[in-house]
Amino acid sequence: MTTADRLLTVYVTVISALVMAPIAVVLIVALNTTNFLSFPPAGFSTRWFAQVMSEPMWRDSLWLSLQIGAAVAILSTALGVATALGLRAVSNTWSSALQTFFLSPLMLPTVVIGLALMQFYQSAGIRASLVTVSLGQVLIAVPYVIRLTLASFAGVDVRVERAAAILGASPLQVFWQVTFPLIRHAALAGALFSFIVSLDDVNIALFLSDVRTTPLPVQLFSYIEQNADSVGAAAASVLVLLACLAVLICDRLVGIEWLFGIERKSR
Amino acid sequence: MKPHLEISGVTKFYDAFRAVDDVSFAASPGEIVALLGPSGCGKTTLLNVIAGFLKIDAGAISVDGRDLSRVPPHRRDMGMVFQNYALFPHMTVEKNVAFGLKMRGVSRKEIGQRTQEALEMVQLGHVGQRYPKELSGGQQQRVALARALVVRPSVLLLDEPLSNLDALLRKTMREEMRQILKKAGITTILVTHDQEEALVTADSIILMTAGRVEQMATPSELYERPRTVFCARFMDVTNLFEGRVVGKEAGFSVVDTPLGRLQAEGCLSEVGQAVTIAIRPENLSVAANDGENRVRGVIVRESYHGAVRRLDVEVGGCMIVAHVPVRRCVKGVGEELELSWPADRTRILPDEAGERSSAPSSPRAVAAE
Amino acid sequence: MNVAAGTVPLVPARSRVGMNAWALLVPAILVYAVLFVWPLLGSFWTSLTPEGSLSLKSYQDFFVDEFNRSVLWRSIRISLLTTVMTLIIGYPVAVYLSQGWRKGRTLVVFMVIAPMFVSAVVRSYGWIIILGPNGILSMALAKLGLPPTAGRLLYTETGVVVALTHVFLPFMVIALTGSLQQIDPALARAARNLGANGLEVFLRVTFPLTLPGVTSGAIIVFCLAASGFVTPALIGGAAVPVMPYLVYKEGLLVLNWSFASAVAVILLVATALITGVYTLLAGHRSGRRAGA
Repeated sequence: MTTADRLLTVYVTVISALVMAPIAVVLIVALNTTNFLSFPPAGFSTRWFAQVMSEPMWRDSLWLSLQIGAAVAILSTALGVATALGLRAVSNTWSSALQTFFLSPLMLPTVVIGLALMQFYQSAGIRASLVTVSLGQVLIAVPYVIRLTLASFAGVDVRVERAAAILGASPLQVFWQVTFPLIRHAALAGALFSFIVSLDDVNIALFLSDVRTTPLPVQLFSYIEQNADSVGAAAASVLVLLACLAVLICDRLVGIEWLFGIERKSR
Repeated sequence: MKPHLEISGVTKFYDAFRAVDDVSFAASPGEIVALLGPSGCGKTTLLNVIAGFLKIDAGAISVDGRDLSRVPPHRRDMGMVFQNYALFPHMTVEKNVAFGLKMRGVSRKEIGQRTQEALEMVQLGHVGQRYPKELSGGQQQRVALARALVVRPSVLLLDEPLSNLDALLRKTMREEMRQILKKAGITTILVTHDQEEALVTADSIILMTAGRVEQMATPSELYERPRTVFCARFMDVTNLFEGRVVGKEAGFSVVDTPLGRLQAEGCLSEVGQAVTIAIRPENLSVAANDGENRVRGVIVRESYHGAVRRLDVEVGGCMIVAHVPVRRCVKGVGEELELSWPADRTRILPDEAGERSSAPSSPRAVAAE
Repeated sequence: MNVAAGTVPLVPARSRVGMNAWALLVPAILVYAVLFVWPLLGSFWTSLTPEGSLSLKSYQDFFVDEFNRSVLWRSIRISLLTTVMTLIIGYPVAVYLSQGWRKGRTLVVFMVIAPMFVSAVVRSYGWIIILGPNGILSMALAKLGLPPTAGRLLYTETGVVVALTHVFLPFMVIALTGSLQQIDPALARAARNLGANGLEVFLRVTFPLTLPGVTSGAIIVFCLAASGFVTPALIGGAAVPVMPYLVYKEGLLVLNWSFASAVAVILLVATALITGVYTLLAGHRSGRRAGA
């Protein structure tokens, strides 16, 4: 290792620590015995978590978030995988034009999408519900599923599918016996990704939910605008734990490096 | 014999580009036909058309008299081995081989039995529970062959089946593959760019260029009697000279070439016709009296090729290449020597003037008409 | 990059096993038409019809007011600063991640990139705890006997840029790592072999080849930063209003939908213009390089 290599290691370690710090701080405050920000923490306690779990305001919004997340995951994955399959079969010109179109919600400010959808629902006379929020979030989750599935198609050799066809498999059998098993992990990762996108979303949910249907991140957003205390931190920690879980499962499924396009190089 | 597989007038376009242009041939039952040609000549496209992966634009494909042109791949009852073998990475070797039988609704018991038989036929009875990536390239190739053969297809298609193997393994595998195919008695179409592989494995060879059939012949005929300049070049005939027929003598043609006046085989040519003379380097001899044709020249380059020594000899301003057995040649660069070769080893080919091939290595002595 | 933007080139369609492609695309096209294109067009229409009839009043109102112009300018300024910060901080990290021999690579991916899975609300909350008036930073500074000026970062533009840089750093690192990995390692070896030292190799070979990655990373981060709502709202609050905050305020609190839609359209056009001009400039430069 050269000096430059060592310096880079030190730098990356410092940056990693800095990136982790704000998240770690939330966890520390959530586990603190006192209900205000004191550092170093006064002692260890899980009472704030217990409070979050018992208060209807938090408990209901967490439950709602999980329901919406599941709905978004299922809808986005079904829609995204089907779309990716379709994109793979049309001509290149169509494919790249449609890809740009399908990925465009990621390039637009989400508040703009939220505002537009709110006006649309209002003018159509549709009331805020679990469904309105889910359908809105599908728009910002589907692009990720499409991309992950398309990226995993890159690893599916068309000749493997042809081999199945010439051995007597019908197009449907080719898909279920060969293509799908080969992209299954990416599709599952896409589902988890959609779940997390939904769980993290404030911008769209803010516009599409009402008092009775407030998902956890929106609840948390309104709460910490007013109070910065350990109860908020405990609710935030629940979101961190769910994200950690999703990351770990994604890592087991497809490998965290593949998920972010940083593949392991073989030398 | 009645043809088993018949290809008639098959044409395939990629937009405006004619990838396969009016190709016709037939294969009798159990025959191994090689589609040979440089990359981009349309041989793989033709194979994919036969398999049904690409739609045909004109012509017909039939097996046993049944037209398959509009039949999707999975109902064609063919087998195929792909260049990269295309084994299912998520299935064990056994499941790979059993796949085609499962799709055909064969009973479980029979599947197990036939799968094992097929694996034993390719000497891989012991690896059934492994996954493809745990096998060597040669083993994967044999699994692919077993997977294609176990369904007893009417026609077997092989797409460059040996090109991913290293040179040594390729040599043993092509002998082994021919034995297996002959034993199974399956009509086979083999796509390859390797002329040696085609010569060793096939019963007949179709040499293709620019989407068309250049010559269809048995291996020995293609090797010894190429019909066009392209065929000659592709079959490693390095010595090609422009010439003009000036007369006939004792069943041979007399041709004026930059090397001088030569005798060449073939009475098909007419006096006055512009032709190309083709001589295989290994037919040239350094002994003075090995044939009717004789030239004197100076060695300008030599290189060692194991069994033979390659001599580049300058004769009257043009270069001629000779492969001579190492022990027969004692002379070195700069020395003069005499080369001789028989008239019946001197091919006459129609002149390539106006055709597509690249510039000839010899200067044009006689202008095209 | 597998989850970031950009299209994936595919094998020609004619080589595919037959399947009815358009039937598979119809559901998504329908969903996008009803829930995306139509509402956006509707929103645009609303911005043009403030009192029921066609007029540019909402846009006029926006640009007449000095406050609104300052908000637009602030949004652009904050986004540009965030882009530059993520680029400077992220580049060395990307270099590290692109080096296959590094043992700590997976761990660094977990620490630096995976946090994009954690809600921006949570991460902004972390910054509130750190930067707040009684936050960790001011307490630490007080312990060192320094004036707790750092505590004043909350409700300032600097604080917003710090938090946004943290939130969007993963996207920049992903884009940069992607382009760094595409570089053939033989090029660096060739340059070394021709006598260049490590720094020269980086400046003359590696860095110029990552410019496309810099461009795509910059565009992604700029767009995300310009549309970020949660972080500016929590860290900057009403003291540091940005365009998405204005959309939220006018749309949900004031309920002036026409004006809110106009703000949304102006935000869209502004980001599109800036990224467009940037792409043109970057494309022009790389085009010249390719032609040379």
